[in-house]
Amino acid sequence: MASSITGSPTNSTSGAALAEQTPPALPVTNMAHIHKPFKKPGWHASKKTKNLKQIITADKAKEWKANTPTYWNIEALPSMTPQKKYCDITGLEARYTDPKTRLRYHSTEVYQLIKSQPIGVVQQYLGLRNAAVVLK
Amino acid sequence: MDMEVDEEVVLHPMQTEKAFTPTPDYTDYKESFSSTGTPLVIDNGSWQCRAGWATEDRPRLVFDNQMAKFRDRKANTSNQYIGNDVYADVLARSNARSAFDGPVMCNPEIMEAVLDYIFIKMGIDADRIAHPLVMTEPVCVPHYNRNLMSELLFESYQVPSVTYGIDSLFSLYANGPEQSKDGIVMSVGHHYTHMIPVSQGKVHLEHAKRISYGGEPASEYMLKLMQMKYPTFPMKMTTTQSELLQMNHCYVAKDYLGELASYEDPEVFKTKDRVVQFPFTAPVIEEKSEEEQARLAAKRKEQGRRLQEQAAKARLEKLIQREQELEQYNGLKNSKTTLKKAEWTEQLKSMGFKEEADLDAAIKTTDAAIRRARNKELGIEEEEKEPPTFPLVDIPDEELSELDRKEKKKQRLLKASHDARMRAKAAKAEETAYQEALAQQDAERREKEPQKWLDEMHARRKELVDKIKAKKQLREQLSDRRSHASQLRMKSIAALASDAPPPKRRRKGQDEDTFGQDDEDWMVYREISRDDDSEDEEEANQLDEYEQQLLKYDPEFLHEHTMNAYTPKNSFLHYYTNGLGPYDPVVGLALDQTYQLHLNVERIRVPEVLFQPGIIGLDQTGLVETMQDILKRFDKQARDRLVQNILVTGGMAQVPGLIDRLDQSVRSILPFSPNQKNYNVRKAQDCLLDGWRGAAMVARDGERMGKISVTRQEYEEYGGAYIKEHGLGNAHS
Repeated sequence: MASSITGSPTNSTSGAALAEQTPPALPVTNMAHIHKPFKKPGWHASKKTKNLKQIITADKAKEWKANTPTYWNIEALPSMTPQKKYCDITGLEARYTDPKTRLRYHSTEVYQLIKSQPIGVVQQYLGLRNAAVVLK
Repeated sequence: MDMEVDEEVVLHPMQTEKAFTPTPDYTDYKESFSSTGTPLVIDNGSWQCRAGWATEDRPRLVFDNQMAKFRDRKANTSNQYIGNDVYADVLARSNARSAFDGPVMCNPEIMEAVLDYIFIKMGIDADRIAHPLVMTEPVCVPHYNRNLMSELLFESYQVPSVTYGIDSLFSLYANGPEQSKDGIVMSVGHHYTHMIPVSQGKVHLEHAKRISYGGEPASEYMLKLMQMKYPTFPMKMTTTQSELLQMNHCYVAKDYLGELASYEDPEVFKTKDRVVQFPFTAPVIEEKSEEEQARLAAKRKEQGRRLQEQAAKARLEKLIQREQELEQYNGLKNSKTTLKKAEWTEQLKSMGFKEEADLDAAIKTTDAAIRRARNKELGIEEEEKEPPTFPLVDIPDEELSELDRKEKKKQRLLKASHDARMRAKAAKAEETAYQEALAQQDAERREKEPQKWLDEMHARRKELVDKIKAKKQLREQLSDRRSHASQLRMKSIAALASDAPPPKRRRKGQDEDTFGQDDEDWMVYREISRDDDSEDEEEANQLDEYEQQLLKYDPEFLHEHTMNAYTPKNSFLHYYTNGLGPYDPVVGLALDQTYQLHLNVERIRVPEVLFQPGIIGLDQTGLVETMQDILKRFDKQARDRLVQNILVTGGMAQVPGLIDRLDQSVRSILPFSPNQKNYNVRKAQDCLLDGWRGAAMVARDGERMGKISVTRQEYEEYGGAYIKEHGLGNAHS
């Protein structure tokens, strides 16, 4: 059994060129050419897929009893405690905020750096904490 | 320079890709399992899939839950690799896909391929999977997705029964079945972190919470941080690599703010900075043997000599040619007296001259060229060319003929430009002499009164630095429309543009416009000009000169004191990105250093998001606040029971320091108890495999399985989303 299913992907067809690329010693299993006796013949999983967001949206539209735990209502709530602020560049504690770029920074040295950054980089830094301005 | 050799820096090599480890094939199905009905247990996680027989204590297969399906056009083969086999092939790696969207299985086609792989690897060659299945599923998985899975299992593989449970609850069960009646399980997983309270054997999913942070977002955050920190890094970092960085180097700080502050101290920093070295190839510098170098030098010399010889030969030929020409010209000139005029003119024309003056000129230039060439041959420096004369300039026009007047005009122009050249030359010489004198003076003063000289130099430098800084500041202010500087500028522009004369400055009888009489008037244009950078370069040069002097003569003035210095000694940002290793401020980073990442603040910044999701802008409660929220939903007795058994599991639970930090933080949210510790936070025995183990324990309990599994008949009757509640899984709703 084992010999029939293991083997490099190359020995299924004549591929001398490929054999050089992938050393045949690697015991990988190429599932494309293996007989699967345990499967019901003719049945295949649906190729149509929905992503999680679509599924959740559809689910939300249904009626639910109060207090039923669902995928979307077990999400942690917004925090009620004051948030500490950290330097957007270095991650150290941020004592200041630049009024122009809204970046938080730790020291004058970091401020000098911020001032020299182009707007795109500033937005990327803001994006790290999901605060970038997104124009739609 | 100020190179310093520190103690040896530990380099952590960066793997380029995940190493491939082959998955074994099992062949014992027929003799050991084929007719036993032994349950199969699959922990179907979005990161790893673990599968095995319930009767064994470890899963037989542990692999990354992914599939790569592609056609190799070159070899004309279709390929489908699953799990770790994907890492064996470059093409496969780039085609890897997961059946999961977040933690939820959404793509049954890929899932089917993964299940096929499991059964093939386990060696099952029967016509169906005649084994009860125990499988994990996400917390509160939508019915739609459970239905997809059930359909797949019952229809494609015709399994007799399926039992679904939640991996973290299975893990709780595996870490002490008798304790699992009460407690909170915290599972820090791949995509999300879940916290589920269990009270008196009942799972309170309605109080469970999910925080959108786990191993995968952490790796992604790490990747983004590194990309921002090293925007010009010579290599592209992959997600696999950032995952490795996150797993190998992160730790949870016990006191986050204190730990952050400690990174600012270079001494502490040195002990915490992790240097990750990417592979690189140094350019090959060919070492030549001395013999070969000598041979090459000789060859070069020979070549040079040959070239010189050729040039000399060419020069000689030219010289001979010129001499012959000169002889001819002179012969012609001399023959003027002996020949008839018409004949002579004929000869003159045949040699290409128009008139006698041309011939004279040709004789003169050829003679000069010959003299020059001779001098060069003999190595005699050319003597100063005698100044050109302009005889016609001073003669009044009336005394000149038409032709001469023209000539005079030409001479006048030539004379003017010649005079100007001479004046410039003199001025230049004067200037260099002046500069030399100044330098001389400066040097003398430096030797006589070194301290005073230094003080003055420092003062001059400071003045210049202040000036440059002030200018920079002004420029910055001008870029903001509402700043004072900008408004002043607008006022000046408005005043200049207005037609009405400024009333105060003009008195009666003086309404003539005198703008420009005083040079200062023009400064108003300076004031309103936005981009005045005419002097910038000059100032920068001057500053550079001062600093070079100071670097040379002031032993206390080092490179890090210069205005634009960026060295480990004066810049946190420098050692934050480039470490405290040797650094040459003139040359910059060494080649191997440009291929290094320095992980320092990131080591705690990335896992800290678990406690403060606000760091990545995630508007959710952190681990501790979430636990506080959950505990609030229970009465005091239940609370006391729950906190006795706080179990942390999941891949990211292995981050060093997490349990200590949790232990300390949980104390802060509980009522004060002076005598004994009234709570217990512990890590699962095996954060990765305990989910599978717990599921196997349940699967081995035949009686229990009979009550909780969903049979094929029930599937057909109630549909694919149907489950039975059993205390370790989702609620039936």
